[in-house]
Amino acid sequence: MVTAVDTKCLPPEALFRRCDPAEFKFNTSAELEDLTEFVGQERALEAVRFGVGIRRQGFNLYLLGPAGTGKYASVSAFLQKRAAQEPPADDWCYINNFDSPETPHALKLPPGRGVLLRDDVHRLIDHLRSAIPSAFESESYRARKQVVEQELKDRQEKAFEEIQREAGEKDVALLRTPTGWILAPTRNREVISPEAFEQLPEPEHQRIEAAMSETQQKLQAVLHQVPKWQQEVREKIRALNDEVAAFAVGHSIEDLRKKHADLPEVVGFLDRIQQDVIANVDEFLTPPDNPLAALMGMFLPHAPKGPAFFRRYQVNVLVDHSANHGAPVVYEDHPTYQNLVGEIEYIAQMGALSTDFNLIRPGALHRANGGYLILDAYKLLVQPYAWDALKRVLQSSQIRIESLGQMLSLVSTVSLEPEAIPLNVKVVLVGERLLYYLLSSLDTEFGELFKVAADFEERMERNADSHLLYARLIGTIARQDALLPFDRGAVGRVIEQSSRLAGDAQKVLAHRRTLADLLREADYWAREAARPAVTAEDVQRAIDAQIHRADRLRDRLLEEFLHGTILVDTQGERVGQVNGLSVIQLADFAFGHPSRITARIRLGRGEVIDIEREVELSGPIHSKGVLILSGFLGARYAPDHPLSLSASLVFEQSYGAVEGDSASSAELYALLSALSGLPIQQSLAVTGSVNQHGQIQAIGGVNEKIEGFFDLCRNRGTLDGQGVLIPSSNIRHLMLRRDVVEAVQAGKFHVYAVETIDQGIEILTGIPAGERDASGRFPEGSVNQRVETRLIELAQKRLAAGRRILTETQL
Amino acid sequence: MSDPDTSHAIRRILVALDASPDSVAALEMAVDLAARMEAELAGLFVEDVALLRMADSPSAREIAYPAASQAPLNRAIMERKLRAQSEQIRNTLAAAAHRAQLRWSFQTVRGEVTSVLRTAAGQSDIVAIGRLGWSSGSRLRIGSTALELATSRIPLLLISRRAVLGNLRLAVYYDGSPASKSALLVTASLARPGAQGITVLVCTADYEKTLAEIRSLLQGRAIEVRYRRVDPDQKTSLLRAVKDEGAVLLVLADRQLLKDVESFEALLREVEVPLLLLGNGFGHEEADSSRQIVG
Repeated sequence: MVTAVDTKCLPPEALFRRCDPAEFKFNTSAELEDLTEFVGQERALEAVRFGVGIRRQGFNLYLLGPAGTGKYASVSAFLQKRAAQEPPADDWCYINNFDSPETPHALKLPPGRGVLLRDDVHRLIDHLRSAIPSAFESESYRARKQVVEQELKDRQEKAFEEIQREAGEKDVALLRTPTGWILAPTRNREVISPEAFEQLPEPEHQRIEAAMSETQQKLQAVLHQVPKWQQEVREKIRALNDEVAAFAVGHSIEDLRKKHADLPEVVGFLDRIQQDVIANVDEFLTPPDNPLAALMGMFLPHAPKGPAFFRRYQVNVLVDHSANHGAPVVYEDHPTYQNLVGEIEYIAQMGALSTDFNLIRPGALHRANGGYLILDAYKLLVQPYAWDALKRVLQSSQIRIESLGQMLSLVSTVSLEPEAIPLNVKVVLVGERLLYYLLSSLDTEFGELFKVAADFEERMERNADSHLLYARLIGTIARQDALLPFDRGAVGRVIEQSSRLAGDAQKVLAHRRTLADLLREADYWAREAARPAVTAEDVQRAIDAQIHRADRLRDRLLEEFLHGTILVDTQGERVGQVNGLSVIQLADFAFGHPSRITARIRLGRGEVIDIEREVELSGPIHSKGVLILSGFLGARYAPDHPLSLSASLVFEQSYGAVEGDSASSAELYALLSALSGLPIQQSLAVTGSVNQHGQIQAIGGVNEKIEGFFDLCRNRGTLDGQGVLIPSSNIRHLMLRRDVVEAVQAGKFHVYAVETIDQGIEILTGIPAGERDASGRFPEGSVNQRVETRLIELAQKRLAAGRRILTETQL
Repeated sequence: MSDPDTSHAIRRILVALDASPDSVAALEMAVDLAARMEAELAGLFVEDVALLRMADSPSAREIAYPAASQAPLNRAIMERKLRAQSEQIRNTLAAAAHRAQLRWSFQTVRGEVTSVLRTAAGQSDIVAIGRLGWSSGSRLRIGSTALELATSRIPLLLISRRAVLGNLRLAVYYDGSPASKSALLVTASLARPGAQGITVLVCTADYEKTLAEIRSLLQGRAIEVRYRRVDPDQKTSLLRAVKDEGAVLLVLADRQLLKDVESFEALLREVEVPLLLLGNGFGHEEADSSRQIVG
């Protein structure tokens, strides 16, 4: 009766794929070469090589995969290696636009020349600030200026003296005062008193009056001429100043022109400096202290880098590649809008905000221009305006710095519109797969700008070759992190654990961060034990410690089972009751536990009621699994008559949401038991989903589920033939704990692999499931025959009940 | 002839002010001197009666700066203008004195400018005046008031002019006379020890002997002294020397050059730095040898 059970019971070796240390020829990982390639990521690395190599617009990269798979490390190492072979990027500077200061010019220079030019110009201006005043203090300049000024004075004085002389001859006195010229009649060079003036005859009155009017007119004519003469003198002095300044400046600037003769833009810039210095030579002659500020007793802070006026000649080196030997590779870990495209800063002076081209600050795009820029996709997307800015820059292939304050109308002050800088950069976004798929579907521009996706694996194939590669990876990480070397046993145990974490005996984890953490913890325990190398024992201790730190909830749950608060039988038989298995995932730790699933049957219309779903505690996948059961039951047992049961299924003592279809086979077993009246052995637990044909399908978390039931059974005191039914397709995923394997080896615990419901029900009830014979009947006494019979009975009862109701209605 | 003595205590400095640029320069120099000698600063503004007389004339008029427009003029208007000018000058003086923490006074006197200044000079130890006033044309190079005072018996007359660039040196004309010895000692008293050197413009036949004499006179004073020979018959020689030395003040004993009034006046007109003139009343009189510059 139970022969079927024995044939499906898995041997211990199927439960755990060991990594035999004997297959390694090294003693410790220290003997192994460093691993420069990233194992298991061939597909992704090929995509990276392609994406980096292709120099077309829009062929930027998105590296997708879970965090910790080494996306950034691998692409960074790859790009560093490649960038070292490429020419260094150009320097970029912003310089004053002397015609329109609010639109500064961008200046491209060969690597290292930006700082050189900045220092040269700084020294030039420093020199001019002493050379120009010296030139203007020279004796020759003063003499020439004095000649010009004296010419004006002489001209004026001559004109006034002439008027004075003529006036005097006509008995008119002309006297200068602070407010003007006074005219008065005289006689014998003495001013006539009012009384004497009154006594003068009328003709004399008229003569004097005429003389005074004539003098007045002449005086006014000269006074009207004075501004014109002053203007002429100013122009002459200006010309003289220009000549002196040109001499002082030209000599100094000529050397710089020769030095930078290979760069026409720089020569043009120097020409503009020369013109501007000459035009503003007065600024070079002004004392450094602000006389206005001193007068007002106020402190006016100088703008950074010197007195405000001379800032116009500075060179703002935005990007300096003088120390770089290859193309830049930039990782911006805080990709805000400003950190990405640069910003224009302001300084506060006397309560007002002001700025100039010297306050333009570069962003990561400037620093990476001519090379590569790596960004974290999530960090980029959560920064306001950063994603849009990046797309805009990539689409236009130029960096245009726009102040956010201006853009959002938050700042109302004079701002700059710096000349855009041409952009040639390869952007590499690193992020989760979900973000990639969301961007692909929701952002139409994303596909245009990030044409190359490099998908990083979390797992890699496990075989002898990969074992050795993995050993080298362990050795590499150990060296990089200054860990103790790992002996071969430790390496084997790490690989086994990696396989367990991968959830597949045929795979190992390619999650570099998780691996590195395990190695560091194992190193800790090895050092605690004062060992020269990490052993398998240290690795196991690290694993145990990791689990112990995380399994508080598992322990509490287990206590509830043991105390009988949560009812799960691990012995005996029950009709319509089966132990299902589920997994709880808590961050990086997952554990399994059994749940009692029960089924009750009554006459009905063929519906299988999932109580979880009725109270909306069921996820869609779980509901789907339950609905499949109706399909299975109807097709197998009631093809020719109505399915006339009403079955209710429930996860007993489940107070939260249930999701997944891994319990659908267990629910079916409970139904079959309830229909057939055959009890199910409670020493067994079940996992696996089922399809409409009764085939058992693979589920996730198989190891945790088996161990969860094992732990409950063991903690109840005796292990006496308990076991778990799993789908056959999950055998390859088995990487069970050593104590479970040992219990199986001792025959105290069993793991059954089943492919169909029939195989499973046989194990659970100990009764053959039975197949239809040639006449289409199930063997008598088989599970299926009992189920079918029960369903037919229900159908007949329903039919009879229908007739009775009809008759009573007719009556 | 006894040794020259410069024991002339400077207690009061009179500065004649008319708000012209040169008079403001005179104020600045007077403030500097007063601060160093802890002297009182006395400002004087003269309401020129000549102007008032002109304003009395019924046909008098003013052509105002800068629009050359005609403005009415009478005594009341002129008096108001003079009062405003006086107030402005007083404020300037007060501000300067306050900055230098000086005792100061200010007086407005109506009269003929030169005679008022002569009278006031008698109560002061130094008179400071601008080289050119308002009524003087710049072609004159020195105004009539300054020129008249220069030839009067004012003990110490400072004729100032707008700021000149220089290296802070003081120049003094030395011909070996008692007057020039007094001028030398006055100059040495004015020089800031360690900060201001003096240049002696030597005009004697025996140059070496004169140098020894000067060194003897200046013995014990921590002053940097340079010597430069000038030709007594060549006015330009003196002017060139002053210029070359970059001096900011030339000290002269006026009697030295009064033998030739025309030459003296010509020198006053053409020298381009402020002048300090030791007049007849200063301590180089043989009978009066008890004065000393107390600085």
